[in-house]
Amino acid sequence: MAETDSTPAYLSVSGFTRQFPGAERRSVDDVSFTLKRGQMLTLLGPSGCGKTTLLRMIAGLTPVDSGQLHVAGRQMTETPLHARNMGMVFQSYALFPHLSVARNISFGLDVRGVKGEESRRRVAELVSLMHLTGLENRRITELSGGQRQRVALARALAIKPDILMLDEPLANLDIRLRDTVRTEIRALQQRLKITAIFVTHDQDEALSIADQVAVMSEGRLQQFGTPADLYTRPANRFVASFVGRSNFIEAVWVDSKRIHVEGIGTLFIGFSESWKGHRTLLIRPHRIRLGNSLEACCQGVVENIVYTGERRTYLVRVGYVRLTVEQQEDQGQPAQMGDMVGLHWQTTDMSVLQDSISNDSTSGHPSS
Amino acid sequence: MKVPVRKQPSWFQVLLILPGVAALVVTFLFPLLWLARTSIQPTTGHTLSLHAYARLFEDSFYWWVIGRTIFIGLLCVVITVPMAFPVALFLARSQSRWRGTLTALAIAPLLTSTVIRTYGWMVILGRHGLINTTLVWAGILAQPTRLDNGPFATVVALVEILLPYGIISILSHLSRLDTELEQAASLLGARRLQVFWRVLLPLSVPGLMTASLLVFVLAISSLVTPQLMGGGRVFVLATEIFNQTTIALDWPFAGALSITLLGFFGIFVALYQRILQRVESQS
Ligand SMILES: Nc1ncnc2c1ncn2[C@@H]1O[C@H](COP(=O)(O)OP(=O)(O)OP(=O)(O)O)[C@@H](O)[C@H]1O
Ligand SMILES: [Mg+2]
Repeated sequence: MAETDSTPAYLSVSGFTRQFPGAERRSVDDVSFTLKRGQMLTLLGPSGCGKTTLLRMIAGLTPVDSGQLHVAGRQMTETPLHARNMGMVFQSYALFPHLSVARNISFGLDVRGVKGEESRRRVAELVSLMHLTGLENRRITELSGGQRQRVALARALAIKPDILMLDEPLANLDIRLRDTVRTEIRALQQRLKITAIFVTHDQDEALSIADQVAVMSEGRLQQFGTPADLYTRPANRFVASFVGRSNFIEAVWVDSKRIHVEGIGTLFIGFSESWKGHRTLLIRPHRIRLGNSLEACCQGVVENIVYTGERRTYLVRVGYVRLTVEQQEDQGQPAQMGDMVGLHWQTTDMSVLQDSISNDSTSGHPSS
Repeated sequence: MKVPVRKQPSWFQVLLILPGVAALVVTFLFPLLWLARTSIQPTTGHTLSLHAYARLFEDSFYWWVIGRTIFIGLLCVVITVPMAFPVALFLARSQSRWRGTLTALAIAPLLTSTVIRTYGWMVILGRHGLINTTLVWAGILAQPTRLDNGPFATVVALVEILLPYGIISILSHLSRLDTELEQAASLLGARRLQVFWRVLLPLSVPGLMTASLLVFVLAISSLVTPQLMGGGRVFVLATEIFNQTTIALDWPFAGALSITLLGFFGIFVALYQRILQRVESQS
C-alpha cells in the first residue's frame, strides 16, 4: 500500500450516532473512521444496518444526534447542505424530471452562478466522460437505467465535490452492466482522485473497488480496514461470514500442540499463544485440503458435493460438525459422496476471532 | 413484472361499475338531456326553437353577465391558489407532530355548509359587522362603510370557501413528490429560494393546475355566496339561472343559460387538459 500513516485524514467521522424519533434502537451507533484524500471507501452491510443513514448523516440530510464531522480539517457538523460541496448519487438517482440531461448536469453550476462558456465546457466534458454524447437534450424519462445512473454521477461530479457519495448506485442495473459500470466508477474515481464513499450490500462489489472497507451491522461499525485486512484478519464472526465463505469452530486451548474442538474432539494443531475458555476459529473453505486419512487433522464423511466448473464444494461431516471444503478442479482426485476423507490444514490457515463486538448477529449469516 | 392488459372487460368488472354508471345516468345524464331539451322547447307552442339562445346572445346584458362570471372565477383562482400553495407546502413538508392535526384543521371548514360560512362573512363585513365596528371604534372611520353587498364581498367569501379545496388538491400532488429531489438540489448547492424556484415550483405545476381548475369551476358555479354576499347587485350566471327558474319562471331561458355555463366548463376543462399534457410531456 502506497499511502502511509503520515498523510493526514481528509474525511474524519467521529462518534456519529443517530436514533430516529420513536425508534427503539439506534440506526447508527457511535461510528468513527477516517479516510485519506482520494481513497474509496465501501460501506458494506446487510439491509437495514444503517448504511444509508450514515451516508445521509455525512451529507447533512439526516440530523446527527452526536458526533463530529471534519473534511480537510474543517469542522462540518453544522454546515448547511448547500455549503457542504458534497456530491451524492441517490439510490433512486433523484434526477430532476423537468430538466433535460444537460440541465440536470449543470444544475450545481447554475445555482452557483457559473454561466456561459465555462458552464457549457464543463457540461460537455462530463457528457463525453460519462458517454452521454447525443443525449444532452433528452428528458430523464427517455433514458435507460444505466444512462440515468451516469447522468446522476455526472451531475454529482459537476460541482467537483470534496466527497462523492454513492448509495447502491448499481442496484437497479442488470448484472452485466453492473460489472462494467462498477469498473468505470472505480477507474474514474482513481483518475480524478476523488474521495468517495460507496454503499453496497454486495461483498464482491465492496472488496473489488475499495481502498478501505467498513463493515456495519445493526448500526455499529464491525470492522474498518483494507479489503485484504478484512478477508485475512476479520475482527469477528460477523465480518468473517460477511466477507467470503467461512467455517467456524469453537475451540479450547489445551497446550501448544493441541486444541479441543467442540463436536470433533482433540486436534493436533498448535497455537503458541494460549487463551482461556472457548474461542471461535475461522478456516476458509479453500484452505482445507482433502487427502488420505493419514496425518490428517481430522476425518469426515462427504455428505454433499456441488460442482461449479472451476471448483468442487464439499460438505464434510466431522464428528458433530459440518465443514465446507473447496477444491480447485485440478486439485487432486475428486472425492465421492459417502467417502471417508482426511482434512488437512495448518495453524496458519486459521484465525482466532476476537468475538467481542457482536455476538448476536452471527447466527443469521451462514457461510455463503 | 407486467400484468397482462385485458382487452375485454370481464362480466365481473362490468358488474362492478354498473351501479356507478346507473347512478350517473339517472342523476346526471338524464337531467342534463332534459335540461338541453327544455332550453330548446318554448313553453308555448310545440315546435323546437333556439329562441332562448338567440335572446341570450343578442342581449348585451348577458354578455356582461358571462364576462363577469368568468372574471370572478379567474379572480378567485388568482387569489386562492397562491394562498393555498404555501399552506399546502407547509403541510406537506412539515416534520411537526401537529402536521396531521393542522391538515385536518385546514380542510375542516368543508364540514360546514356554504350558507353558514357565507353568513359568517356577512357578520364580519356587514354594516354593523366586526370590521366596521372595529374601524369606527378605533376612529379610523367616522361612519361604517359598505363592505358587504357587492363583488368585493363575494370574492372575499368565495376565496375563503374555496381555499380548502385548493389546499387539498395541491397537498395531494406535493405529497407524491419525492423529497429526495429537493435534497439533491440542496446538496448541489441550491439555497432555499433556489430550491423553490428551480425544483419545487416547476414540479408543482400539475398540482397548481388541478387546484386552479377546481377553484374556477366551483367559483363560476357557486350560487349561494354571490346571491347572499352580492346583495342582489352581483349578477353571475348561477344567480341569473336561479332568478329565471324561480322568479321569471322562464325555464327555456334558464336552460339555455345552464347549457352555456356547461359549455364554459367544457372549454376550460379542455384547456386544462391541453396545458397539462404539455406540462407532462415536458417532465
Ligand atoms: N426516516 C426514518 N425514520 C425512522 N427509522 C428510519 C428512518 N430511516 C431509516 N430508519 C431505520 O434505520 C435503520 C437503518 O436504515 P438504513 O436505511 O440506513 O439501512 P441501510 O443499511 O441503508 O439498508 P438497505 O441496504 O436496505 O438500504 C433501519 O432499521 C430503518 O428502519
Ligand atoms: Mg440503504
